[in-house]
Amino acid sequence: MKKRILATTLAAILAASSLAACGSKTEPTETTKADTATTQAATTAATADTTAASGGKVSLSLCWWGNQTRNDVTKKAVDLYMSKNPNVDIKVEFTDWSGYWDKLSAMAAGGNLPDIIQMDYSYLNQYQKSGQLADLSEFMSSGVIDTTKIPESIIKSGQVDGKAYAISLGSNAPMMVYDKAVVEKAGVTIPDQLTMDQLYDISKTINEKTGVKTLYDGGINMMQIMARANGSHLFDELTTGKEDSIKIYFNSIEKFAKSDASISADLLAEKNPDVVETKPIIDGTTWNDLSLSNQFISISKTAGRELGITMFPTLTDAKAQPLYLKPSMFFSIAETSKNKEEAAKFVDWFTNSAECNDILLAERGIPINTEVADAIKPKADATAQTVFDYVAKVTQIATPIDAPDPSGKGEVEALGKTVSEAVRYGDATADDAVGQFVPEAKKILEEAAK
Amino acid sequence: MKTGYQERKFVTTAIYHVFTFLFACVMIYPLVWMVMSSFKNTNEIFRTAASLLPEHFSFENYKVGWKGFAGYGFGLFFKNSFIIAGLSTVGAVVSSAVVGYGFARIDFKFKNFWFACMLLAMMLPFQVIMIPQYIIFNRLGWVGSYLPIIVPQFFGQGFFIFLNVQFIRGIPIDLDEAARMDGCTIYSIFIRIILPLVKPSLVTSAIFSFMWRWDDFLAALLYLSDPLKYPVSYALKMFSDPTAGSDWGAMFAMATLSLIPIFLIFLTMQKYLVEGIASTGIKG
Amino acid sequence: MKNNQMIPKRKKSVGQILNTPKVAGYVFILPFIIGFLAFMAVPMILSLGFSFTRYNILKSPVFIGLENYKTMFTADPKFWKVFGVTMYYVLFSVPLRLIMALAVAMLLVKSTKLSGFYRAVYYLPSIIGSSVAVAILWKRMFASDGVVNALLKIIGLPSDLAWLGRADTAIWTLIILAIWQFGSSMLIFLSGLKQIPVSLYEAATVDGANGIQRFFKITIPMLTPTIFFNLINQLINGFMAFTQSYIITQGKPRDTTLFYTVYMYQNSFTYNKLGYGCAMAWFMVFVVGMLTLVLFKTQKKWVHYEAEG
Repeated sequence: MKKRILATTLAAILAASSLAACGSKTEPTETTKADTATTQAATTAATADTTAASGGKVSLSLCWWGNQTRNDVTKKAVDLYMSKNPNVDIKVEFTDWSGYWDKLSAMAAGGNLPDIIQMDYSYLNQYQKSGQLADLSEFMSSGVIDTTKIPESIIKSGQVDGKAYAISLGSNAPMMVYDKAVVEKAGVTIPDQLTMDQLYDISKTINEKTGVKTLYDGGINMMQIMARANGSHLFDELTTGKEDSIKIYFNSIEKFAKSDASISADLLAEKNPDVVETKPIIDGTTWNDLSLSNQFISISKTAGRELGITMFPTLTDAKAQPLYLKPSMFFSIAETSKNKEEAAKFVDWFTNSAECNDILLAERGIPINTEVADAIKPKADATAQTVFDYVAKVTQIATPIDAPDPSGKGEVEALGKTVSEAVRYGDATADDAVGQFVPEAKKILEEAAK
Repeated sequence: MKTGYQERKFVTTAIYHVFTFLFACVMIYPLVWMVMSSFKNTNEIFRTAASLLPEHFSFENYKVGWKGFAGYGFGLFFKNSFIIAGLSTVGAVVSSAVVGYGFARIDFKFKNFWFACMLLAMMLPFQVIMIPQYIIFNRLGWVGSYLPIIVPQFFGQGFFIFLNVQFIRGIPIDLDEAARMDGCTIYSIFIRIILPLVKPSLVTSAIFSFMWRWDDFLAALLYLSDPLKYPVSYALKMFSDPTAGSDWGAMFAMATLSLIPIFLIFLTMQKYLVEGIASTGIKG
Repeated sequence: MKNNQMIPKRKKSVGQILNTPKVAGYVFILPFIIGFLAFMAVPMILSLGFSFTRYNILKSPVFIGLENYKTMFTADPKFWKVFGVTMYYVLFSVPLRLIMALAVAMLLVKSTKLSGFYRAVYYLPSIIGSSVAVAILWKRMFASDGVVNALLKIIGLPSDLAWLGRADTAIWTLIILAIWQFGSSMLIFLSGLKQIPVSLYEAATVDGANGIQRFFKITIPMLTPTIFFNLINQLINGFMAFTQSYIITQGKPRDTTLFYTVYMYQNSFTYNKLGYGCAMAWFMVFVVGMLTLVLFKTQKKWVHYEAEG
């Protein structure tokens, strides 16, 4: 009988007991959170925890993506800030690049964004347009964020419709990396900036003399740069259905694709140049790579050979210098943040403090405060100095960056990849590609603007 | 005659072992590659990927990897993984066995409806319910804790429920009838007859549950914010950053270490996959 | 099972009420019902609702009726492409994986001193699951200068194939990966095999049945519930396959390895069209659901349950 009662109640109790067992293992007691309205859900779990625990302290949450180095140095900088500002408690949160954006969109949907968000140029527009980001202009004009030693163009790169919603954490520039030994062996010299035609000629020579192939495709980056060299902007052309720059791009892809000196389509797909470690230059399949300057250090390290850095190629009859400075990443402050001013103070310190940047050591790109950049340059190693010098050189000639990417950019980029692949595999001519890409891209952008 | 039989048996056994062993080598080669790579420098992994053995064995990756990120080490991440995977497994195995018995042996109204709901939940990709689910857990105030990761496991998991249903349906119904004659209730039949007989499926569930919870990073990504609570699976992702550069050596090292607990769980659990359970039931 | 009427209609104690099948059934599945209603039902209904909206997560959804479904079926050639790719993948990977799993389970069911070791070794590939390590590893195996080509060279076959770069072979690297990770199905087969009463084999041997006859007359019929389970489960898994395509090939080359779920995910998050993603998800649920339903309908014909005698 006893057994029977035990058995009958077992199933019913299971759920309850399991809850209890689990609740005792995880400590947070978030009973204070009785908020039901979506707007009120904005109080992050973290904020609720800490304000309850630490009384009058201001609590900030800071979220970024990155690798081991970035996580280590950023945490160190945050700890230093907390020790200097005992009234501030900063909760850090870090994750990997692709997971970061999934998480951020979930947080945004829950009204739960962290106070300080590491932002990327390609997501800036989208987050700003949906009202998720705080306007930083007021903090800049009131001097909470000191901008006196930051070039105007860099402040502009974080602006949408004339107001600053993000502040750059460092600058990058498009570059071409090349293998010094191969170039020397082939007996060619690499000028400061090649044209695509010169690159084509050099690729022939190098392949004849050394058998090493040439990489020629940078995807949407390449499209943007060709449009800029052609005196316009990629998305301006696409939204109006203009074909000019896209024609130049696909003609160039076709020309390289047909050349024996270029890396073959299937090898390129196998290697995957989107990831540093699998770039074809790493194992010597190609002698060059097209990328952004912040990757120079890791490409050099992984390749284990001496690499040179030169400007991203332009067009022979370029109407404008296509090179620009790109913010490697930004800090933004969430519109839902309850401590915007304290967050802005931290951002200011992160940008302008020599002490802080001594710890960070340009890990996020060359510091935008020119004084700070000069101060930390001598502390960098030889490879990093090459990058400092390169970015300084580009700064002199750079033209302003394209406006933040419109919504629909991701899909246009994917389309561009697919169509470029078709040309590389010889399944479509350059004309076919233009005829397919431009109208479809226009449609995507129209849909996305709705 | 007798020696001939023995000889033949010996040859068969030998062939069996040689074949199984060779095939095992093929199966395991990629893993060996990964383990070996964990002793190589990151640049060596990619430049001389074709050679299996490292130029010289280095434990540097283990040292660098183990220290983790921003002062949070892998010792901590392993502890967290054990908590998550351990509690989840207990919850999933027990609750799924209970629910499985309900579906397999008892007739009640709308049984097929609920079973269909269960299958439907298994078929819907997580990516599209991730946002609504996040909002629910956020309203519950659970975000930032282990609750959204562990608690749902205590309400039965479709895969394990279904597995138990199939196994319970394989048990002769005569056993239930006999027990009922002896005065057993539906509940005591479950505890005394069915549970001991579905041990293989419980063991299988436990192995899978532990492994899947151990490997799962998506729930951790969504619901955890404090690095103090990160599990190994999630921490492993942070060695790679396509925008800046990745430390594959350290990642391989930690990935290798993270295999060990699952491997040990498997080794200990698989011993319980022994035969004769159902047959003794029939004889008894 | 017609034991519903077995309890006579008299005043019943709580214990007796709980012991009636219609009540006991709900007691047993109660955890599932609570969990389903609390954590799954609302998100599922919402995602179905989103499929009729334009929704980019950051702004509130706008109702657009059947627009997403219309676009999907008529105006998005990539949709049909990824559907085809996924079907191809399921069609080959599911049966091959199951055959492999059953074959190895048969091999390992025999208890020897080494069987624990063998089981572990064969299960190891599945343990590494879908970690990032697999992505790197698998790409190395099938690289032009990788191990697979080296092996092909040894047996004298063409060995300069860029497996991952060719439209006709890239998908096979993912199918082979699926076969290689047969561990979970194998383990379930192993448990199923262990459940078959030894007495049946003894009786058959006495009757003079040989190994092959025993396999087809006893093993297979007795294993049908397990086969059925694995089939349904692998079917669902096959359609839901995500990581392989997402981290190893990224759909390359030319979207020939772009899985349905990856395209769905890209739409939902990269292209900010969660509404469209949800529509894709529910279409997949429909397809997989139909296939599952067909399998459930046919199970009376071939699945052998003890419970039905």
